[in-house]
Amino acid sequence: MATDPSIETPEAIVVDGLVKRFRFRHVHSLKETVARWVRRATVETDEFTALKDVNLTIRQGETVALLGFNGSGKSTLLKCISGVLTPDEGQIGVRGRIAGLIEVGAGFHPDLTGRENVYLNGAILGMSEAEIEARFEQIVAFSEIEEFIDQEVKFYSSGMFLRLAFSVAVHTDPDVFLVDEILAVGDEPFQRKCLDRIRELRASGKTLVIVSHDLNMVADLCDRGILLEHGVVVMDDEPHAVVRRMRGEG
Amino acid sequence: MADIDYRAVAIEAGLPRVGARPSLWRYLVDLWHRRRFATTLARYRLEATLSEQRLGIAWVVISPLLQAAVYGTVFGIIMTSDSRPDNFVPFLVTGFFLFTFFSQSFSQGAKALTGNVSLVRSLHFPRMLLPVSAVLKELYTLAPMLVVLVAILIGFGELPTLNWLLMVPILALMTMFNLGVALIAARLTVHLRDIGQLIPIITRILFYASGIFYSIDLVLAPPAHPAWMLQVAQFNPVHAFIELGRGALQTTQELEPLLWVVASGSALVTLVFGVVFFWRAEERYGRA
Repeated sequence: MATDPSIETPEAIVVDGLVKRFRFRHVHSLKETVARWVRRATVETDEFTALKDVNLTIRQGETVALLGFNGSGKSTLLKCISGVLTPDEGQIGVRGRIAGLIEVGAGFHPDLTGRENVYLNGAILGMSEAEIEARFEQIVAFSEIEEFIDQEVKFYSSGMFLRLAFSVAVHTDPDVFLVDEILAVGDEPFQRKCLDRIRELRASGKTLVIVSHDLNMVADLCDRGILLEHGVVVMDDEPHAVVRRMRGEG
Repeated sequence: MADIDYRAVAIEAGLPRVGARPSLWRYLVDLWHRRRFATTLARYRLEATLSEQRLGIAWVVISPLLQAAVYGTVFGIIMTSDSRPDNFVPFLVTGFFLFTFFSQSFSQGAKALTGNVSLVRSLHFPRMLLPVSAVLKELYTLAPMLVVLVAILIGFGELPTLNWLLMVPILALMTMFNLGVALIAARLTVHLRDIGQLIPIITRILFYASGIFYSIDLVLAPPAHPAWMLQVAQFNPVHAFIELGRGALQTTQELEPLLWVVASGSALVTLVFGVVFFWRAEERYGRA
């Protein structure tokens, strides 16, 4: 196993025999569909197995980098952990409240103002109105878009959009925080601020799972690296070692 | 890697399975806890659509009023005057407004999941919040329409009576029915997008079958048509809600006991079936 600094803490995430397949159904014309149905032929489907029997445990307080090249299954694994995708086989258990920045700002409605979106997003993440109220100032201050908070979100730049979405998510007080490739957007000062916030979360014992192509950054940030290749876990080790292997140096 | 029985670890640690569909009871409790999302979304959406237009909230009323005027005029010319009851304008407007509440709940409810794909795919929450919010938005939209309806009723000599209070249970039952229909439509649309094409046609058929601009009782009266036609038409729940509304608001219209049976029966059955039907596919909505 990896260098595990906190072997005593309980498991936060257990992934057991996870298999996730995607089916592509070829779209046919109505005529073809009817002809096929008349001949009682089965519908042709292409199957693509994104994750093949993934097993892992992540303990409370660990900061884990999910590494791998495009199409290796990192984001699919993250979506399965967040509960958005249901596994085809196997199970995933997670302890505590999950917050995910998987598709940034997905819960945002462009026609609504920043303020309205903060309330909506908080509500959908399971915060009470009092909780949102109490943290509203903090959320806005962190995002640094005070003067635009009552503007409709569709007028926001992509950077402002990201800041607000990230800010809401990190202030929901999650136990498990899933981050997919969000630190790539935003300017450098804001990135630094996000990293500081992530370190704060880490220091307060939260569990973090991070997907990023910024290998140096995640290797420095995380204390464990899991390498996926074609939907299989091929390495689970200290993150710098995993990055060296990805670069063909190890 | 070390040989670990991950399943045993998960069970031992007492980790709940992610994304599992909870029991119906737990699901409804969870829904209740997050009700603020549904109400807030409904309110903000309504405000947002209205703020784009100069006349704002007035359109909520003007649009169905204009449509009612068009249908009333066109069919007033085409159809014979004995198809229309006395005091036709309040009859028409009550019918049209209530029908709009149904048809909008149906079409917006059907889009509740397919129109929010990115939200469904990135966050985990009880999916039922979305169709609930869609129907709530239509209920909020109905409020200003009712205000205008009161003005029209009084303008045409229908003064308020105690019977007007019956609108509270009638609208409660109708909201239950609309929510049930929205939940069924929302799930079906996820499985088969083509349903979206059928909705306007179903709505149109119901529009003509529900007696908006004519009286079913007068047009389908026994001598001209076989008796069963009227009986079948009276079992249409949408017609029942509209007729009850007219009976409560207009002294010239009657409140038939059969309508109450059809209205409450269909509201209860549709809502219970809709909730269970929607809940059963809870784990599958993120996939589409």
